[in-house]
Amino acid sequence: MPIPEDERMNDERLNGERSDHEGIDDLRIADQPVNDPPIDKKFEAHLKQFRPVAPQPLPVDSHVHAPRRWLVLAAWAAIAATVVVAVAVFTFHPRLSRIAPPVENTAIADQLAKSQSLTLRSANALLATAPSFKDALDGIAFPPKPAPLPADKHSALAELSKEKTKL
Amino acid sequence: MHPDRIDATEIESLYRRHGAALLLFATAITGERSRAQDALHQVFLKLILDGNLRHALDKKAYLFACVRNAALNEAKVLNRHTPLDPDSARFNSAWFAPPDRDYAAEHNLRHALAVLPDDQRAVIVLHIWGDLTFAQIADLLEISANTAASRYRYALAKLRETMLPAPNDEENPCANSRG
Repeated sequence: MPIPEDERMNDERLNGERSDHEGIDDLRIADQPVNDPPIDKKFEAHLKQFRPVAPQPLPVDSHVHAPRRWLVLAAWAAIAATVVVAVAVFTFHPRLSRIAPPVENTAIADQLAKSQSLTLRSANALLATAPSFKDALDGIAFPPKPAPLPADKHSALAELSKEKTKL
Repeated sequence: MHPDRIDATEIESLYRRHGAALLLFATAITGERSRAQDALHQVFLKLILDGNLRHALDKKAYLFACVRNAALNEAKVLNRHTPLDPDSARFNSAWFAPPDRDYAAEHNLRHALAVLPDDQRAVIVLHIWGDLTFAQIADLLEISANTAASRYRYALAKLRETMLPAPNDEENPCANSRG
């Protein structure tokens, strides 16, 4: 059953909806005075075929996205700063730098100080006393560790190696 | 964010939906598309920055009211509220995308709109291209709905008269040369 026109008008108004015939309904709301010219619906439809020109885009993109762009720049700056700091730390930190640290220097020096120097005399003695030639060579290559120094004595070479040298 | 504020995405959506009709309405007031465009941007940028649009019961009608105020204010500030002159150079930019690329018809329509009285031009633009009801137009222009409807009828008749040849002229092209 079709809805009576008055009811449809009321429904549309209550629902805030709009029909194709709203123009007509509007005109019925505002009673047409006798002297007013009639509505030419065809001409109205003809006019509606003309579409208003679209406006230029709202200059809002840069505005809205500015904070995001700022964040990206800030992130890149933070990454760059981190890289610079890391490089600086690796370059100048004494433990991480390539310059031989004093601890390692001391260890090597201790080893050197504790090892006996190889001389012709000691080599001849080893060859003479060793049961075989192989044992003599092993004795030259891996000399027995000398007895450690007493606690109150230090090797001069080890003491010298503790000095920090700047290159 | 303030609960009454609407976000930029929603405002951009309103701009896309109603921007063309709003621009036309502003152009119908200022007569110059560049000034109308400025007024339109001014309204929407203000809405994005600090706009409280949620309190508006009828957002579309509210936008038309804002654009009207912006266009009128700009004209007042610049002291350039002059009647539209369809023969002036600033009147050259198109207001419409015509059907079938009939640019002569577009010029014809623009010219016919320009020679209408301001109040009639506003009503016809708001009703035909703005899709506003006479009740909405009445609220916007602070007139009665009857007045809005009456202005619409007169404006439509004048437009028709200006744009289309009279039926007698079509049937008898020599009708005007009689006598």
